[in-house]
Amino acid sequence: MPNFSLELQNIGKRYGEVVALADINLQVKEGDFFFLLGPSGCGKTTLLKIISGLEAPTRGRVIINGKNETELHANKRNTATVFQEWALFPHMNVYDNIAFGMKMHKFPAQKIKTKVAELLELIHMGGYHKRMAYELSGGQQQRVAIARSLAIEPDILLLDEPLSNLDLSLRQNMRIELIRLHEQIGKTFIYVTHDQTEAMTMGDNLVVMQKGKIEQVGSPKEIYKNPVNDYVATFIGETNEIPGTISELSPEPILETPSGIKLKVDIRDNSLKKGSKAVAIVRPEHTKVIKSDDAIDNRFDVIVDNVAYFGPSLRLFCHSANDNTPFFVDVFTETEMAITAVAGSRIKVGLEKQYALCYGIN
Amino acid sequence: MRSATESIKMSYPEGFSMGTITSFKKNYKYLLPAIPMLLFLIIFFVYPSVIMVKYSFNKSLLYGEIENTFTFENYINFFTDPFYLKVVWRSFVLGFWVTAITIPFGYVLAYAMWTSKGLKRKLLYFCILLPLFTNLVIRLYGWRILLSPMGPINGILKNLGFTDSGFSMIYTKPAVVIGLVSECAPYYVLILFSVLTLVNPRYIDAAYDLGAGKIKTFFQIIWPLSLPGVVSGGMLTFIWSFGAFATPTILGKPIHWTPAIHAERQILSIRDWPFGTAIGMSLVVIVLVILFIQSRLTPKVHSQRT
Ligand SMILES: Nc1ncnc2c1ncn2[C@@H]1O[C@H](COP(=O)(O)OP(=O)(O)OP(=O)(O)O)[C@@H](O)[C@H]1O
Ligand SMILES: [Mg+2]
Repeated sequence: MPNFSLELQNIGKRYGEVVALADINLQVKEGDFFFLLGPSGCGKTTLLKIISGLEAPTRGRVIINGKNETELHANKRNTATVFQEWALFPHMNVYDNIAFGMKMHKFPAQKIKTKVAELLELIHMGGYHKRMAYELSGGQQQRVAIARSLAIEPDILLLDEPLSNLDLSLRQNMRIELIRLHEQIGKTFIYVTHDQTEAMTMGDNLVVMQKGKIEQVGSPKEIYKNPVNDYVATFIGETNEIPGTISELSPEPILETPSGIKLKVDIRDNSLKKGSKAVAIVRPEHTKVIKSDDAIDNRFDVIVDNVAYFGPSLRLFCHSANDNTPFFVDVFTETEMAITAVAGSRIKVGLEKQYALCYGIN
Repeated sequence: MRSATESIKMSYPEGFSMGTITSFKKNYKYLLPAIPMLLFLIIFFVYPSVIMVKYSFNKSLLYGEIENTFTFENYINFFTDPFYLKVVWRSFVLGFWVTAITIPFGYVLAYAMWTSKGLKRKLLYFCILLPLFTNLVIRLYGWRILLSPMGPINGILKNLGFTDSGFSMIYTKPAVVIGLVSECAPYYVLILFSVLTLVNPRYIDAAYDLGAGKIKTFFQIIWPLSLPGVVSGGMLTFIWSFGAFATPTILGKPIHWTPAIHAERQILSIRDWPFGTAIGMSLVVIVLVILFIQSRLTPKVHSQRT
């Protein structure tokens, strides 16, 4: 049996009538850096609180390092949280904030001293120990919050959207620092975010949540390429959505749009039958602007509404020539196509069928 | 070195100079609705106060007439007479006891209210406000009945066989202290409660998360963050008891009388207005001095914005 740093079994949480979490199962190996990704209100903070012991789950078990700690109060668990709003103690200076947890864990005085100095070095804030929390910038407060949590040498570090209040450049720096930190100390990190770019670029392990449920667990690449449902597909990365009805399943699955276009698609949902409503998810980089004689599985006409310049590429916002389904395509700036595409022009786009991921609509 | 005028200018906020009369006029316009209240206060508060100040520097003649002179005699008499110094000291001690009891007792109530939710919180809130709906004198007569030798408390004690004749609880210092605690506690609790509601629950979560138990979390996080409420509520309690009038009169003996009662006696019974008003003014000054010292000692209120 493999040794998991954290195991969640059938976790459920209700607040009165509100179901915050429904049947969460997750296994995290020691030293993993896990990203919990989901929209606001999907239960990310609630899940962290259950892992840290600040909230008790309504049902299910929390197993930390192989021990069932579901009943254990937060102060007895060896987890530490960097809160969404950091929550540095306002009446203590940086030193006392970082030392607080160690004092509570009865570390020897000498060790506390050296450890605080070490941590301040680690977060590049040596010499700041006398400052009060409100005398620090957002980024500094955030680093102190991380240092305070690391001080108690937790087995699992929980980070709740710790970078959401920072500006973009500071956020990017802090992301790199966090990854470096994780490599350096090799503990389990669980990082909550609702920013998909953050999750995609930082992590190897992604957990996509929606409405209190885990939709998919995997690497960013896996999830991007093989999303389990249309929700995950549209949540991760950018997509076009083409709604329609399955008009044929064999020999080749066909999705027919309301305006009569027949698309060859890749069925990703086993429950789809002939006649069921479905949606084809198409990423902009998988569509090509084509000339009429190119060989390709699907082709259809669109009318360009708008051209957006992104540096290396252009994004053409279009709508289907038959109906008004919006559709956008990316083309490289340097191509002939990019030069001729102007608002109002009619172009042909092509799509290989393996890139038209078809899911049922429920 | 800065010149004196310069430093005086510096101490005013920007824009408050004689050159900005137009902006002054503008600000003045917004004060218009306040004028009726302002007039009311000037006529019924400022004017009588000024008369009181004036009297306190006048001299009293044999039959209560007031001689229009300027003298410090009344103040000198008050602050050098061992009797009145003792009265002031006793009031201090009284205020100390009332505050010392109200602070922990009220803290428990405010804390209970803060940690409870829904109906329980509403109920507690109601119970704390309830005494304020009743007139103070009526409440004090209630205490008199409760504490009297034939009252219900002694009745129970007699039935239990602790005493035959009943304890004399009324007209004692504890009676005055109890009366004042019951009088000040609602205000103290309300002030403290409002400060407690400002404590961000995240700090408590963070303390637990870092390994602190309930007791440590209380003493290291909740107590220091609620200290500004304890101090201002405690100050209110102290000043209130120091200047108390009705409670020591109704529940105490002359030995428990505060300077306020003596001022009233001087004015209404002995008809020595100058001395009575001097006592009153001295009380105001003492309270101001206490408030000044407190403002120097108060722990800083830490910004708890998130
Ligand atoms: N104490 C509470 N009482 C009642 N409902 C709650 C409580 N805490 C959370 N909820 C509800 O549980 C759901 C999940 O909340 P949670 O805070 O976990 O969301 P989140 O995913 O962290 O969102 P965000 O990204 O905005 O922080 C929400 O619908 C929220 O309203
Ligand atoms: Mg949250």
